[in-house]
Amino acid sequence: MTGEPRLSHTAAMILQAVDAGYIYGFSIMEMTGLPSGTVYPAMRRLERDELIHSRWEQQSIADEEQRPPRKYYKLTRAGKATLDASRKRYPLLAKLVPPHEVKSV
Amino acid sequence: MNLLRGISFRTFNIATLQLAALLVPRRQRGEWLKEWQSELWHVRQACAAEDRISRQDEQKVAAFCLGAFQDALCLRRHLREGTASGQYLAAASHCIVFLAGLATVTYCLAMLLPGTRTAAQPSPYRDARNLMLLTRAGFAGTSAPTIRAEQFREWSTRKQHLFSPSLFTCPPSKL
Repeated sequence: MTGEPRLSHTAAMILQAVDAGYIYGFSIMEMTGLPSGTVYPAMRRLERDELIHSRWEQQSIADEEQRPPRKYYKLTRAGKATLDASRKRYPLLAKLVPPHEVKSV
Repeated sequence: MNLLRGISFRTFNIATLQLAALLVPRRQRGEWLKEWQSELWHVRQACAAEDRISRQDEQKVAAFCLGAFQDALCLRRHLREGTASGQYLAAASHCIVFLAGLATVTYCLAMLLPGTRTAAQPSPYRDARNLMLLTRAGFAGTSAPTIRAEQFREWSTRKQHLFSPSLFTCPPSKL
């Protein structure tokens, strides 16, 4: 590996949001203030580059709460390394996206 | 009235997602639509308070749905890029097969044309390029010999006369 990929500020912010606990598309939109047309394509790219991975919530959990199941995103090991590099590049990243208290999924 | 407006707005949102889904390759369409419909449900839940949704929130939900088009196009492009190298290889082999087929069809058609088969066959003569067809005067345009074998032999023994100027002199009657 030659090193972590250099992310755009938007992609780095999304990665930071996922790391901070905003683990589905809409919560990332709300946190970052970015529109859906930016967030979802960026997440596809991050997933394609194996910086995040997604999984569907169990149907039973969603049924209990009477809502459709969500698709959750999580950072991969490469994603964490890339985020660390991005934090050095964008020092205000952590302040822009503070940690979010979430129940475990 | 509000109920009707709510239903029509919801139908519009779902129709927008369904329309955007048409841009997604068929194999990924189901999961893609499932994710967007799920997100839409949550967006509506966040926007709607006590089963009422304001005009401003309607705009937010509509803007959310329109973002699906960008996502669908993005996904389509990624998948195309991912399969591009494989497609190039497949395209090259398809091209070779097509050209081979075209050559076969062309050969078969050419064989149907009159005279092509004999022209394409190898010559039965040893030095075909240097052969001359000797015919009697007045038999121009024929490909069959018009002199007898003994006549040819006689000519062969009288080589010195073959290339004498008299041979190329046409009889006055032919002029």
